[in-house]
Amino acid sequence: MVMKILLRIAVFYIVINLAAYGILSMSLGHPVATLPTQSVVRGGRNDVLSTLEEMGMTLLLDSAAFAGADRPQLVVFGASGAASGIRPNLLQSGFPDYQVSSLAMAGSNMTEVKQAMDEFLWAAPAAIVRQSVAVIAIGYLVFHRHEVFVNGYRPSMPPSLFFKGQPESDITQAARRSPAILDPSNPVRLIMPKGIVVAAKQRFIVWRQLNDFLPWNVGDWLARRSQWRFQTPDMRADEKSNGPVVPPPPPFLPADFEKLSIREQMAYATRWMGPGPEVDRGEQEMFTACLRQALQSGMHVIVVNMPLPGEHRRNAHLFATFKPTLQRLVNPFLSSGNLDLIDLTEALDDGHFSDFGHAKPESLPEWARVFVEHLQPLVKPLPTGR
Amino acid sequence: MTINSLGFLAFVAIAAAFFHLAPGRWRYRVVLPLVSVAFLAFTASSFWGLITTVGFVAALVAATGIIVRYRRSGVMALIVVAILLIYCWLKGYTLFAWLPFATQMPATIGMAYMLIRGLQLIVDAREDKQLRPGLLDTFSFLTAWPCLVSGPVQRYQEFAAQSVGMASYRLNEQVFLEALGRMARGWFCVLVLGDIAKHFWLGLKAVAYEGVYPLAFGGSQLAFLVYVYADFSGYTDIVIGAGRLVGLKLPENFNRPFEARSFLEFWSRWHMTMSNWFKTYVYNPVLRLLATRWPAPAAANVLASIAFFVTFFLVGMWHGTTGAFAVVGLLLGLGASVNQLYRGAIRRLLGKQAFARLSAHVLYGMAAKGLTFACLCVAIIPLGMQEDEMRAAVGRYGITGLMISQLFVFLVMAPTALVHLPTLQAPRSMAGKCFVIALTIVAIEMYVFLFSAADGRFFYQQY
Repeated sequence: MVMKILLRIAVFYIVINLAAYGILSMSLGHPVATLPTQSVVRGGRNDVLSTLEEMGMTLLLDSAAFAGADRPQLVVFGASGAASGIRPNLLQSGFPDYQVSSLAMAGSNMTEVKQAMDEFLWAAPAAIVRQSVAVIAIGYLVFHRHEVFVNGYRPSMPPSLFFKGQPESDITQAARRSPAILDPSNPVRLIMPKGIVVAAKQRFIVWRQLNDFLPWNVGDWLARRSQWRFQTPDMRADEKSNGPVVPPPPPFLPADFEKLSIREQMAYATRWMGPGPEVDRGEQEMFTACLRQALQSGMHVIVVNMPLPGEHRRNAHLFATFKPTLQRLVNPFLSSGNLDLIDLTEALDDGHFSDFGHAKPESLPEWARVFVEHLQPLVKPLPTGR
Repeated sequence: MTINSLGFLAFVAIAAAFFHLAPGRWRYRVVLPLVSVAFLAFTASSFWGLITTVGFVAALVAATGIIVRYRRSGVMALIVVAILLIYCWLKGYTLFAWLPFATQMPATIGMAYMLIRGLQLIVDAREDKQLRPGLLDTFSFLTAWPCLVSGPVQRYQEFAAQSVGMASYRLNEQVFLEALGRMARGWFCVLVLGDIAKHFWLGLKAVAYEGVYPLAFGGSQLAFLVYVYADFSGYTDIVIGAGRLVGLKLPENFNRPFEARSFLEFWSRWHMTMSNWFKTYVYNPVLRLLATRWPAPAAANVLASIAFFVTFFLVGMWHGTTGAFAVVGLLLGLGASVNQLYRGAIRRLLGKQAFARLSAHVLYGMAAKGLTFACLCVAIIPLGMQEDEMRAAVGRYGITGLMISQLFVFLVMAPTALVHLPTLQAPRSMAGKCFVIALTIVAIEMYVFLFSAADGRFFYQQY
């Protein structure tokens, strides 16, 4: 009798659970297709090899963690230089009043840095934001043109559903591939209460992990359905036309990029920054928008001009002009008294770099020491004395 | 191991399995005490906490043995005083902090409940010569695992009657489903409803302490009351369900307390077993004593209000060891005695029938309910606050702020007098009951999965 009742409850439990998960998956969150294993850039929060788009997805999801923040944050924003060189766990002991975390994402430009900041400001409670510190750790390379790192390849979507028109940032692409509720620009997300969005993100994180253990990707079908729901009419028309399959573009960086000399790597950097005398104007505007937004939210902002090896500094055509440009961009905000600019371009010896701008794993403690040494005097003590 | 953990679920399953696999005559004599000892060991905060609790149980068992042998009032008085002193010492009451090691005693589980069960047994054993519990009976009664942590407070006579039937107790389909359903409902109350209310309580409390926000302060008091209700009634459901699996039918502890329209009515609906205990073993003797000293019928109402004051003051003191609980006791006592004085006076003034008509009036009902909860929320403020928080709140809000916050509670609760929630009927078929249990489990799982719980501890466990 006991077993019969327990068995019946178990069957009902499974049926109800499947139904509930199905409904929630369709409406709140579901896994997308597994991304290609092709590695583009090393970096990201977990120092794993992943695609830019997957890092964008991770950033969108991880920002949910800030919703539960109960202490002031010291958040690092930036690109691969910041992601590889500034490790929150190594900096934490230097800032005991703060929770140190990083939303730096490899391959980012200023548009993506601002998107990361948008996510943080959306997620974290306003009272916490007012006590928090934003460390915008950048270099001239972060001001690259918007289309430089666009993959143009979405493995979870039929090729005919590729976005057309203006290139979009990796975070935007990741957002488009995720359920509507996770896309910061989607109207569904805009009208949803924050708690629901955070819950959806948390659920989505688990879905992604479960995905690795499934023999086939159930989320792919769901992803396509939601893509269909929210895509533009011309894209739907494209899908119906059954046009020729567009082959994926070649990877932006060569597979053996890390084995190249600094001078050879610099050649790529020069190419993606363009031949102009100054960093991209549009990205400059994005930088000032980022500063304005952070300061308006009450955060203390520290802009760090990131360390670079000597050979890079000497050979980069934009490096010399970037310092005065950065100063000019920052000057209007200095009067707020809540902004600091520090130049660490020459703070580390060449031996601490693995390539043209990233930290050597064994030098991470030294990188952390330099950052703590320079940031500590600027980080204001908390008024509550915590 | 806490009551709302998976560990407890596993413990219940193993305990029930042992109980039903054991020969009938062993169930009460061997399985129940052994499982209770194991439960004590699993729930104890530390080794010394376990030793302290066991020591206290031993003292209660010895005291019961003495009173069964020497049924004299003088002996009973001595024993009761000694037990109370030992209890206050072990619990570390501020008043007894001067006693050696009083402030270094390890945390214990369920001692407050053991105390009132033990005192009930001592008093009843002296008065009823038929009541002769043996050492094992007393031990099993005091430590019965389903109601060890926080009740419900079962009388020994009921426990003894049920223990007789344990040998032949067999689970049938209806009882098993009822037990599972009750436990699932309990976990839902604790883990979902209680947690939601706790989030509201903590959030509103944080807002209330950031500045002077009387509405947030009032809201936090109501949220706290809802949280404690969901937590405690959920706990009671869990242990009643667990008890059913091993042949114990524990008494109900709640009867829709949010429908109460007076302070005294609230306490006849909330934590009913404790209220009944205090009524039987404190209120009645105190009233009898006062009536013997001042037998005039005109003084009856005043004497009853004094007895209520003493009783509810002790209820407050029983909840905790610090001065804050004395404040709770004073406020509860004040509320109860004023309620009794008003009830007597208005009945005398209007007469019983007119008073009944007045009570049935919608506006009177709304006002009475609003006032009841406004007063009640004030009285239990110290239960949900640290002493320094309380001092800061009193300093910041003052009388005016407190009045506004209680007015808010009044305005929120008064309209609820118009609402009468129907009792949900459980499905009759086995499949329907299984479906409801599975649905409850899924709801709990999804909530726990989606939202991080504020804190999984059972609130009343601290008492």
